[in-house]
Amino acid sequence: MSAANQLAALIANMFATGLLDDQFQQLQMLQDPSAPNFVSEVVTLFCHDGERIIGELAKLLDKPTVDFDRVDAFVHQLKGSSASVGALKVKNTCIQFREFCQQKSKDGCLKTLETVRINFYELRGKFQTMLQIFQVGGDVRGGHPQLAMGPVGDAGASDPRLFPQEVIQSGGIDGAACWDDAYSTPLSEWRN
Amino acid sequence: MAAVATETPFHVLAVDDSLPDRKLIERLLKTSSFQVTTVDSGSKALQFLGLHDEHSPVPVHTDQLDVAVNLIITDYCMPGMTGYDLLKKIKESSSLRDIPVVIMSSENIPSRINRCLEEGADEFFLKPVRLSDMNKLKPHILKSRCRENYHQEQHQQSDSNSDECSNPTNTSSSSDSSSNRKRKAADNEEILPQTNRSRHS
Repeated sequence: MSAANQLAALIANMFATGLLDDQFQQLQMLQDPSAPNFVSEVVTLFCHDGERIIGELAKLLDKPTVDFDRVDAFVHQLKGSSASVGALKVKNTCIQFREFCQQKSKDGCLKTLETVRINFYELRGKFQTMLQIFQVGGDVRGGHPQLAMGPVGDAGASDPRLFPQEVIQSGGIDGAACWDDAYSTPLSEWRN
Repeated sequence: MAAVATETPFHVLAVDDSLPDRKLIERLLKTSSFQVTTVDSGSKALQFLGLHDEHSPVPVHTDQLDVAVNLIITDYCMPGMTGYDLLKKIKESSSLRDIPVVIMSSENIPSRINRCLEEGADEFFLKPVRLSDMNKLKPHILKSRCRENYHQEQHQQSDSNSDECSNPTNTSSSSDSSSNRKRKAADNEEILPQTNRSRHS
């Protein structure tokens, strides 16, 4: 299976299982030869940010007296960044989490923190796989497949087929309409 | 484009404490051909805009800005200075109040939206912001340029009528400021009766 197909199948699966929503497609639309690593960069930032926030939440909830306002503020941050990258499941868990903050329920918060942690790490694992396939797929036009496995540095331009751009009729804002139409049946597009 | 001929792209200052969100808004703006500067707080935004803090008031004029800013887009919920606080400070500044301000928020709270619009925000975006939202920015920039030109003409025409003239860029008294703000709000009503309301209808 080619890298492009692997990536397509992975992303399709993430949509199908409710890990991602159409905001992720917005990110894909924003990637182009002038910003060939945009998706990887945002995803990487999200993963680092999420891990940091979960750490802070664990510390705050570990205290004998919990400052629910501070907990809520962190959950709000995570909810915001999940929404921005299309991390649907994590975002929804954050919404539940905020309700427990409002109720000042330490128990509810602790349980939901566990759920957030599980959902976040599930997503992060898939994002890491995504980034690895993406980077190994490399720059078909340039020559050498990229060997770097870490977060995006000078990984170079990617094969645009990996985040299919041909579905977009033209660059820029008008492309949005075509992209949404194409995504009405995502799997059939991806198979190619 | 409208009457303003310019070779340089419009420059937007984006303010957001969240790193992934900053990355996203930067990319959205660049894709839409804006030049972008991002900062992670309201106080850094004010620094960039050349406004000193309350403890060292220094009169600042727009020509002291190294780079002109054509629009400011800011997140609402930020630690320390919120987007609303930043909006207020911008509108209180004689040198900055004509720069259009857009507020972004992940929460759809009508009273919050109204408060921002009443304080002089030109637009309110629900997060996550999309590419299609970028279309709404240029009209505000062009409108504020028209208003600037209108005020400059007024100032030239009524040079001898000192009681009539209240050019916002030269106003220093607070009573003049508030009447300018009211007039600005009225201008908004006339020019864009729908835009400011559409978000929360």
